[in-house]
Amino acid sequence: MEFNPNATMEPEPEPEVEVEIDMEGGVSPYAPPEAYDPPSKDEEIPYEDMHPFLQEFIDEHNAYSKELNAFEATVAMIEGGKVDKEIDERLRQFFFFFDNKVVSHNQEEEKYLFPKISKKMKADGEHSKADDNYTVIDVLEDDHIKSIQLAGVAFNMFALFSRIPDERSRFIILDIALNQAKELLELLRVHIYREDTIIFTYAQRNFTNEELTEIQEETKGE
Amino acid sequence: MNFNPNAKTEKNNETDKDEISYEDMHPFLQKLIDKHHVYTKELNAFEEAIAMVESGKIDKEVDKKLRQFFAYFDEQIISYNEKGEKYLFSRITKNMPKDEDFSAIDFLETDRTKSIQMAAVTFNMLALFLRIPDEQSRFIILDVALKQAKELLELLRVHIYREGTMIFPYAQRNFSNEELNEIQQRSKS
Repeated sequence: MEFNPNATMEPEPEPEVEVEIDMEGGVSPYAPPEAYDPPSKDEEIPYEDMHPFLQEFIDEHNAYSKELNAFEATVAMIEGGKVDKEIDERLRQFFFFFDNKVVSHNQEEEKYLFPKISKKMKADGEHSKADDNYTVIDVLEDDHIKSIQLAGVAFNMFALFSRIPDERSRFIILDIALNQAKELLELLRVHIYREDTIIFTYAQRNFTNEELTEIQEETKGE
Repeated sequence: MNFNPNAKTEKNNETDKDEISYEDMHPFLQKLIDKHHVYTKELNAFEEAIAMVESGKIDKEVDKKLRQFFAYFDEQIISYNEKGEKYLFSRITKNMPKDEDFSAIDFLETDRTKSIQMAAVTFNMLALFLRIPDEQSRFIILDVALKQAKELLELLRVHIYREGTMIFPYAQRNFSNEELNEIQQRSKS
């Protein structure tokens, strides 16, 4: 069997599972099903009916998910005892992608799309019952910060692991690195799902095409 | 004047325009400057704690000082930087003529991500350090933690300096009082 970096090493989902998680590799242990079926979720809008600006974000998410699947496979290989140059290269590839693509993708959302959605949600009363200023956008912005922290710690722990002379100490460090990597995987997957099915859908329903085009122009600095 | 090893001296060459005194700043910018003062005190306390760790003092007092800084970083600095990016920086970028290069904004935005990473790594390395059974391994970890902490200190200090001497004067010069009032209102909502 050839190794496919974009396929997870998990078995196919059980037929009785109601919630399907489409991540090109079946159900992952880092993707809790309940997170994919929130009670307040609106009906999804198909990709073809989305504004090109939102389609661009979804396309980026798809590329992003492939990198996550490859990273998950790498984490599983390390857990299985494989620590060599190939693993090192795969880890570097993921963290490079995270630093160069994911962070700037998140910044673009925070700068151009999120403030407009947040403003509209607050105006329409779609905020936390306890705090009028707290919306789902705050949760997603928190995710962005947490992901930077988790990626930073995971990367540095993996790098530290090989420098440590004592075996017992090395395994403590590896354990932390793997835990952080798994938390990062889970966080990013739920985050992508929330954006695709809640935020982009909300933007498509609540902004006109002209408004979305205007936001898109802003991202291009026009 | 005290020499501070975590503050680069060449940063002083970056400003070429006259500074604007605090009294002549808009209240919104004055508030940001006031926050910088509190922020600097926390950085100084953190630097002291790091020096104590470096000299071998690792006890409850140091632990408390470190926790205090990381709590402050999580609760105040991250949201302060986020607000700066969302309301002030984006407005400056938008208002800027297309041919004007104001790369300081890009630097400051990158600083936010870098500081979050460095603080997380420092915090986790310091926490890990005490859990490690082997002494040689422990010192390697402590070395990484201290390097990250010092880089974080330098980054945040230069960040404060750039905001104080480039961004705030730029905003004061290029926005009307009404525009600054409007930015202030938006940042409050």
